[in-house]
Amino acid sequence: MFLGPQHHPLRIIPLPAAHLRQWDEELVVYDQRCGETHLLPGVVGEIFTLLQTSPRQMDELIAHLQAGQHQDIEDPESFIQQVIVELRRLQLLESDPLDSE
Amino acid sequence: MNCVVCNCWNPTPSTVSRPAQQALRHALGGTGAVIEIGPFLVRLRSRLESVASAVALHYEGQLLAPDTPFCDFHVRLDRTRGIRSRWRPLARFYLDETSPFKPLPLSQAYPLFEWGLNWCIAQHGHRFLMIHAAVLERDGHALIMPGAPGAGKSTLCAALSLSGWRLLSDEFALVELATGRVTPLPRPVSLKNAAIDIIAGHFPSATLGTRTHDTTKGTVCHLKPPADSVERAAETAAPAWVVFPRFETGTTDRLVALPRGQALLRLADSAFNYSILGARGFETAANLIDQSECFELSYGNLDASLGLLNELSASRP
Repeated sequence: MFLGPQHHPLRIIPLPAAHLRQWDEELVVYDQRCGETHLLPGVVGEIFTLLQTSPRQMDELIAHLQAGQHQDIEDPESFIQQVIVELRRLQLLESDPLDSE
Repeated sequence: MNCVVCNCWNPTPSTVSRPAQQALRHALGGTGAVIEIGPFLVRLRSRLESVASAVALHYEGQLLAPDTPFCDFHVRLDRTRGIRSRWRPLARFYLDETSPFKPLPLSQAYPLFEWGLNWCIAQHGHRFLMIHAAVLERDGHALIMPGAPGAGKSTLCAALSLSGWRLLSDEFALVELATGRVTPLPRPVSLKNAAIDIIAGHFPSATLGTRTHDTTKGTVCHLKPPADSVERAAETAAPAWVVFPRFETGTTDRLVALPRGQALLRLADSAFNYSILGARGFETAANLIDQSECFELSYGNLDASLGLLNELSASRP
């Protein structure tokens, strides 16, 4: 899967506010399409929230990690890629139109 | 009085008067005795003596007039028929004259009623978020203890209900979808194996029924719900604590804070109908977690764990 910056911005699926709960470092997301409940801990929840606020390119997410309190993440690009893959697997990201081409 | 079957410890005789017991037996053998169990009405028919005496003991404060017009569950418990039942007597549970389970030995008829009733509630009580949990209340605040079998929740539940907490339920946290409050379901507490002697030893005044041996859960004995719990069955409580107990022999008793996100997922896993309720199930569970402090309880000593839970209650403003 190619996640390069020239792709469409990454966008979270529409979710009612009542289906998101943030407690301390944990974000819980309820997906009413499939009835699944996801626990997004720490930085993963932070990235999810960032994407939910507004769609972003992957390099913006990497820059966010580099600028924030996440110095312990050695390879931000690889980390973000893994997060994106996981969010796609959970079907919490809107599908990229280029994926279906 | 010792049990006539196995000479086991002192099943407490019912305090129901003889005419009332006769009326109960008449109702059980006829149109059915009506039992009010929290928000549910159960019409029970049975000609089994063990069921009649257990109902007289455990539900004496919850019996309604047999002509009560509407009931949620129409249950019958009776001996199976046929030639094999002569040398291996069995009891069968019926809901609306349909039998959802295999029959069990006749000696297990009363536990079968309680287990069958659990099934009825879990299948049909969808106006609540139903969590497999013991629930107790103090000063209007509900302590919810979800737990898998063997986690020790029934022992803790029995002990707390006999030491100043109000029993709301041993099996189900019934969370109202509209208000998020917990509705009581006062029923006998099901004690198993070593827990029976622990409770009998700690609380000599506890009213315990007959012990039933060799069930799939081992030896089972029911504790009669305290009268106060039955009388206040209409008083709901606000969730305040969610505690996941885990019994472990020899462990040091301690309460450890559990992050709310993890608590929510574990609560959902313990619910009977979280998926059935969909978004309402999530919102109800999340609201419950929102207003509760969440903990894991490592539990090895009953007195020590009771102390921890009492401190929890005392520290709440």
